[in-house]
Amino acid sequence: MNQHYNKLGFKIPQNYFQKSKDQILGTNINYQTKKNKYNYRSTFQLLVAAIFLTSILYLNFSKLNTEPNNFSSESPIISTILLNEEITDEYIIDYLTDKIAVNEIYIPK
Amino acid sequence: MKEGTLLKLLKNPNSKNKGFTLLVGLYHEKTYWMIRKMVLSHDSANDVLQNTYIRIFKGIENFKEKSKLSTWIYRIAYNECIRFLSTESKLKKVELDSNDDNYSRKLYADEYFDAENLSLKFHQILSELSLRQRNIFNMKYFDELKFSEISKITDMNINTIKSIYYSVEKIIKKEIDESTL
Repeated sequence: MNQHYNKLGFKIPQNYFQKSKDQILGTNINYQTKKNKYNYRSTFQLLVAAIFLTSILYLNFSKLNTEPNNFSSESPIISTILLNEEITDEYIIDYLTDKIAVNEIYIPK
Repeated sequence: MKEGTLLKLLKNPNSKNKGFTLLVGLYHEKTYWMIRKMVLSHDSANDVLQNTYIRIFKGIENFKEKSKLSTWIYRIAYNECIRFLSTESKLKKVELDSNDDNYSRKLYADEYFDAENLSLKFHQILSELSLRQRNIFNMKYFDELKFSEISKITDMNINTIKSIYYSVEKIIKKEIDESTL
């Protein structure tokens, strides 16, 4: 501060510059630290989410690979397809009789 | 400390905090006084100073080193003051070429203003100047900046600045001479 400032009559609170410096350094450096913490946290969250999604996808695909072998060849439709036979009304009626309760079928009057 | 060394510290993420601490130590008081002369009250100057440092901290990586670090800091402070004055006057853009009608009111409202001093006459003269004239005079006379630095800070032609400064200096000398007669 040069000598001319005295002409302006400006005053400042006691120890203002020291307090102000501490406040400014605290604000900016804390801001930076918080920002860094946030970045680390978001990277970690992304990693966990990626692992979670990969495991779900892996489990689903492995399930899909085994499913075609689990079908029941006793089902009239499946066996018809496997034996390359034509589907007739008879098979469908048998299938429906086995699988659907009669009282659940709505018959319009 | 050399400016280059300080800049290296500031631009390296591992030493940025250390560099920033040194920067604040070096430029704190000068930046405050520069702001104070523009916004007048201590509380406003304190707010503007905080915002200036936030901008410096966030923007140091983008500093292209086309000017001195101090000039870049004062330019940020100057722009922050203009922004503050625009908000204060509720104008989109502050009128640099018109007088500040609230100059005296702002001074007297500030508890950190010593009205007992010879400052009164000085402020009376300053209050009659436009904001542009006052800023240029303050930067040259009080902050002892070079015309080239003022030109970079205010984004004005150096010859215009010289012309404004010398005309203001003339006015002030005349006023002081008249008042002491």
